[in-house]
Amino acid sequence: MQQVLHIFKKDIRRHGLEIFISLALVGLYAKIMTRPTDHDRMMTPNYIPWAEISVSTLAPLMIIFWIFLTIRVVQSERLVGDTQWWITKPYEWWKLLAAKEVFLLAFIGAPLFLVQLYILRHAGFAIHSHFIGIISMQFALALIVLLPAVALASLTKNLGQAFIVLLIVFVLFSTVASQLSKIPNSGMSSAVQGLEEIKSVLLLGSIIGAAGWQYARRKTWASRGFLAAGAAVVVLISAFTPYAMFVNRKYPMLEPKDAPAQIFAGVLPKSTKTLPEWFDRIREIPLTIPINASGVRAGEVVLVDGIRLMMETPSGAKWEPGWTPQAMIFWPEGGQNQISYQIDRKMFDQIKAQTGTLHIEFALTEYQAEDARDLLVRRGEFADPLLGLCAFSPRNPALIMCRRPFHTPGLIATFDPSQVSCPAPADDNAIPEDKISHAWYPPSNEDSAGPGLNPVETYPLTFGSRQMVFTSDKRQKQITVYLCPGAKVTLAKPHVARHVRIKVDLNNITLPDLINSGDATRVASQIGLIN
Amino acid sequence: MTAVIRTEELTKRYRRLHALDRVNLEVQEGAIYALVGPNGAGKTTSIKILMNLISATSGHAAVLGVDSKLIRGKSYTDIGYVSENQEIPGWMKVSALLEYLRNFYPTWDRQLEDSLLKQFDLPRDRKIRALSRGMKMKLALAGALAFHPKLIVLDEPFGGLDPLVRDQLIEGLLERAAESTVFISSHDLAEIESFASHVGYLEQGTLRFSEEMTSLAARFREVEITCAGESRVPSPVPASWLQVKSSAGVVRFVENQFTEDKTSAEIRRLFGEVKNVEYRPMGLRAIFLAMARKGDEA
Repeated sequence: MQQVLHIFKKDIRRHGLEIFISLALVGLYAKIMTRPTDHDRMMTPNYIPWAEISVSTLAPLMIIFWIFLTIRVVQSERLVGDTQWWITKPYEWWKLLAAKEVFLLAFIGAPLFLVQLYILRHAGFAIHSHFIGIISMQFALALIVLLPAVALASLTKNLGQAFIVLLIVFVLFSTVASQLSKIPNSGMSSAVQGLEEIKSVLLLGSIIGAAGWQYARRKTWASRGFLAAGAAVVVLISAFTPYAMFVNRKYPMLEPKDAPAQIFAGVLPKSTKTLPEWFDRIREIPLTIPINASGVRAGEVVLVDGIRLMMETPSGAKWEPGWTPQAMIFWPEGGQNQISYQIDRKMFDQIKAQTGTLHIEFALTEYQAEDARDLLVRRGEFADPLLGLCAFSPRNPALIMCRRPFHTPGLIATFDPSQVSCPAPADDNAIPEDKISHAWYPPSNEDSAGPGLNPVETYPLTFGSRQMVFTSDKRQKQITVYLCPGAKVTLAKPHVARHVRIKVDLNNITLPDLINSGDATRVASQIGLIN
Repeated sequence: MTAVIRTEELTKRYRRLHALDRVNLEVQEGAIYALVGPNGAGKTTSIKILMNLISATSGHAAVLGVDSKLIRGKSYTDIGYVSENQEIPGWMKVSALLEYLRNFYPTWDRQLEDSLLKQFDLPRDRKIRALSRGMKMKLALAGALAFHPKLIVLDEPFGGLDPLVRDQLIEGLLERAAESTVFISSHDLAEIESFASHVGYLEQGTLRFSEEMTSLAARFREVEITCAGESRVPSPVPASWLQVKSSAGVVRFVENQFTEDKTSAEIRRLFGEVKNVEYRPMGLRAIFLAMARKGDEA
């Protein structure tokens, strides 16, 4: 321990300026996170817009600076090369590593921990019950930011080399991710239970292994190879996972009549406009398939996790692009939506003249509302055990802004405007919405907090579709839900009931029937579908 | 006597280049062993393997009875290592560096530290980056001597230093040599000759010889034969004769296995009666040059 502290004290002397900058950034972050809201601030006489630093600027700056600081501290005792002064001194490798960890803990972890407690307290939450959450946030941040930075620093010769490697890794990662996204069905990786966990463990294991091996033995190329091999295994797993098989297994096929929602697909009415000039130049042809869902039982919600299209023509031509993820929600009140898809022009040109059948498979998750209860929203700020602390948005009548420690709650919120009289202000030009509307957040893991700096999650509860419509006098207006104190909102927790797959066919169509020319979408939104 | 350094068939290859080729070396306790050889002979490579800074391709090396591959951490409490290429942290002051080092060595001698600083004229409060190259070497040596190491390893410590600094370094080293074994690689043969007890000659990765200075000095002679008539170089000459040249009735060569009786007998056998034979002792530099030229000819 004495040697650990000895190296630690030397690093404090060496990196005094960087420590000061890091602490200043953390302090500034605390100040920004606890300052009055934008609206209140703008009202003050000393408000200077250009002097404002936003969290979206500061948070990345902090992360980048911490990566820089980590690299600097680790490379104070550079591990790559054989001319370093310290390597022939009696350093125990694990004590050196521990000293670096103590440094990061003392000057990044601890100040951030205190600031996070302060932010939590300032937001109105008790700090003693959220220690574990903050620690798990910090742990996640350390795994995602600091650990890779330690590995990067331990495997590179200097700061310049480290940033060049970082840039190369970023470009490689983008390229590989882009290529992997082109693998059929890969967008449905969430259907493979445990896949992300396996990949994360492999990647983190190889990062920890590489950094640890480098500290213990200073075998730079072996450590780099170990890390590269770990990353390669993750890429190979991503590339060769039989996603379609897992989707079929997770979402067993049902007859449409047994499905949690009855889904109908149609085509848009023929556009009155011709296709725009640029249409001939684009490589990916956008297709739109309007769909209509009904039959969702009361107290349930159905989410479309993914869809698979397959076009077959009598001549045997086939277009089968595989599963793609979607995020459509169907409520008991039914509703319209649309599938947006892109097809390669070459394939489009091959089969555009042929009439055939379009098979559409939907991967659905049925959620049931649990622990439903009514909440009477109040004027000013109010507390709710599920929502956290909430208040009406002063500028948007359809919006309740809430905050909660760590993450949004899994939530089904329902508001029926017909049950309460919330009149629109006299000078409001919007059309009051009178249909039942919902707000939704998927179930979250309440036991853990993800990586991040801010322990307070601010989220909106937005009701209504907020769509623009044309009124009889041809003016465009917005449909808006009005909430007011005393309005009743039903809250429930979503619980996964089952995953299912259903198939819907569209017969006798050609691909050009599905081309979205823009004009068609607007018309369809007003007059409904042709089934 | 126990061997402080021992290598067996030590080999290091960089792709096709043999930086070291089956080197067998032994340095006894208390010796001041100088490893000499031309540039690229493998001296620094040997030291880096001994210090476990790089690994050997094959063979074995042991330092203070420990396999060199296992030298790390606490093993360095017995080894003082100084290299001309070492990157000493420039941001530290001289005093801060020594204070920092103190905690790593249980045998650190504060009095010795003070006396070395005084002897080397090192300013305690100056930043290391502001020191001259010679001052940095002296500081590195002070840091390597102040904990009474069993083994002092110096890799080209005199390169580019002025004679005064060199003298100071050697003086400091010799004062400590009684309690340590010294292993030094250097080009500075004149200096080496003045204090080394043993010498090894490395050429193109091969250890040509490794022996005590006294025996080396005894077996190398510059021989000059004045012939009675026209001089001619017999063929073949003995393998121990290097750089054989003749001109104007005089034949000169370097004998590397000199004993007066044997060498005289060989001369008589090959030249018959000669007017005069002179045997001149050779300095290390002359021996080194003779060996290097032999290597070049080969």
